[in-house]
Amino acid sequence: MPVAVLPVDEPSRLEALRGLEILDTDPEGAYDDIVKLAASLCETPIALISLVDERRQWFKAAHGLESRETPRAFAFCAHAILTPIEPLIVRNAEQDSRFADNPLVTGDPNIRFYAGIPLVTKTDRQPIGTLCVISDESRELSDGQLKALTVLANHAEKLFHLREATKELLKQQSTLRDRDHELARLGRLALAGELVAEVSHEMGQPLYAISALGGTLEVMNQQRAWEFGRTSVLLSKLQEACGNAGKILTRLRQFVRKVSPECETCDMNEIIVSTIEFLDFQCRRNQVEIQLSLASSPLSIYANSTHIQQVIVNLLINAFEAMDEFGASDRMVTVTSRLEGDSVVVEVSDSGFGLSVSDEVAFTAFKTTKVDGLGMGLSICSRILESHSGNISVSSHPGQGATFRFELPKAG
Amino acid sequence: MQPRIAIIDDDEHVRFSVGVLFEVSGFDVESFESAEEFLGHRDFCRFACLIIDFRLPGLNGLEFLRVLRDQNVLAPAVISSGFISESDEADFIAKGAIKVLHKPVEAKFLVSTINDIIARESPFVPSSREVS
Repeated sequence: MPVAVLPVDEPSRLEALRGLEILDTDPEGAYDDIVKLAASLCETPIALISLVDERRQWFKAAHGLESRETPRAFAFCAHAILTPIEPLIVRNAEQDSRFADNPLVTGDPNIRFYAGIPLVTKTDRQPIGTLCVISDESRELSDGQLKALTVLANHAEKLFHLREATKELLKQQSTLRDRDHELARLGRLALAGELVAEVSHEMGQPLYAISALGGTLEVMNQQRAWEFGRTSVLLSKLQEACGNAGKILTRLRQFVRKVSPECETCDMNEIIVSTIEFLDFQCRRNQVEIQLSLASSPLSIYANSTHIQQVIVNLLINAFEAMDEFGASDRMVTVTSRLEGDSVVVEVSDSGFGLSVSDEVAFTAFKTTKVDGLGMGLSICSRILESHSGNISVSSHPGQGATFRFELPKAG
Repeated sequence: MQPRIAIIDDDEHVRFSVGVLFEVSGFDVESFESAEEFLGHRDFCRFACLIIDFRLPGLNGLEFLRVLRDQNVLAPAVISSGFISESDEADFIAKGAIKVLHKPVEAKFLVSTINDIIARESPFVPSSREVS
């Protein structure tokens, strides 16, 4: 029995087949319907959608046959795929030297008649298998039946093409998601960079105090000027300063720690409060008062909390900067959260001059990726929210400050 | 007579710690949490040296220096800072700061620096006891 030769570019053909990730998947109605219809139209007991793998042919759909695969060495389809643009028709296998001693001819299912239309992938035009009809009686297909079989084969091919396109789309989607994550991470790093100045200053304070307290104790020691009460105070101040330095580091670590891209159910109010705690120092330095008006019950969202925190940091810093020119008593930021229908809504309002551009332009500004901190910050906010199926908008009246509003779908 | 210095810093831990360091080192110390508080003091002109935090709420370090100059305050001003760029540092010196110190400042170095500055620059006061 002559085994079918391999197609010209067998490695590429196998790669195209495996790229579909269809081998050994569950049966699907769309493919099953095609083989049922093929058997019925061609009046054969068996119809198959067969995929020719390296050592076997595997059936995505089988009508009239129990087994899901047979060895490639016996496969009629392995011959059919050698001529991708025309059907292989065997009228009487017993009289065909290629198949006469094939175990599928000499034994069960006693194949006599075979007609297979090769199925070709869209991108690489690789013949991955066939739609075929099989009978245990020697016979012919009418012109009408061959046409019908060809039409059905086209449909089967379309299903494969759809699968290819879906795979490609999913791949692109995941690449885009990866890029968004990466961008968000870079944004966080840039933000962290901007915060280095703040943190250095902040860290310098307790260390400065520690150094001065140590120096004081040393001078007292040299002067033999020990006083129990005073020494106790100095030592407790030392410990306090060490504690403060530690707290600053903890806060910084929490902000820049590498996060998994996982989403989880979290409470928007908690995220808001922890973010404001993180910015406490900037807040005091900018002499900004933050007024919170949060929903009284938790607002569940399904989100990456670090990313949402990043959005809020950006909006708050943006608000602080908008009020730079104002007297301390006028620097007020209001953060509100509430449930609106199925959306969790957060608003950050400042008491600055408002945006000098129209709302429309402000929106476009989100879309551009300016390299400088703020433009990029807002553009990243917008991307983060989009990837969470949310959105961001701004409203502003000259002289009355600006309100940034973002919303996310509520969880559960 | 002990040299009289002012510490202007919004951080109460720093005010306390640096203050007590200078006290045990033989200085007369007064602390202020902002430039505004300092300027409200009735004889702010009579300090031998000012140690000013770079980042103050309200009037910041640079604005503070300008006001000091406008008010004819002659005391040498030292700026202490946790994070300052080279150009900012040059700016401070150009605007009349006598020296920029980077926090955290080592205690002995801080005291001897201020002592030197007072001995060299201050219109008012004799140098304090030396700290060995």
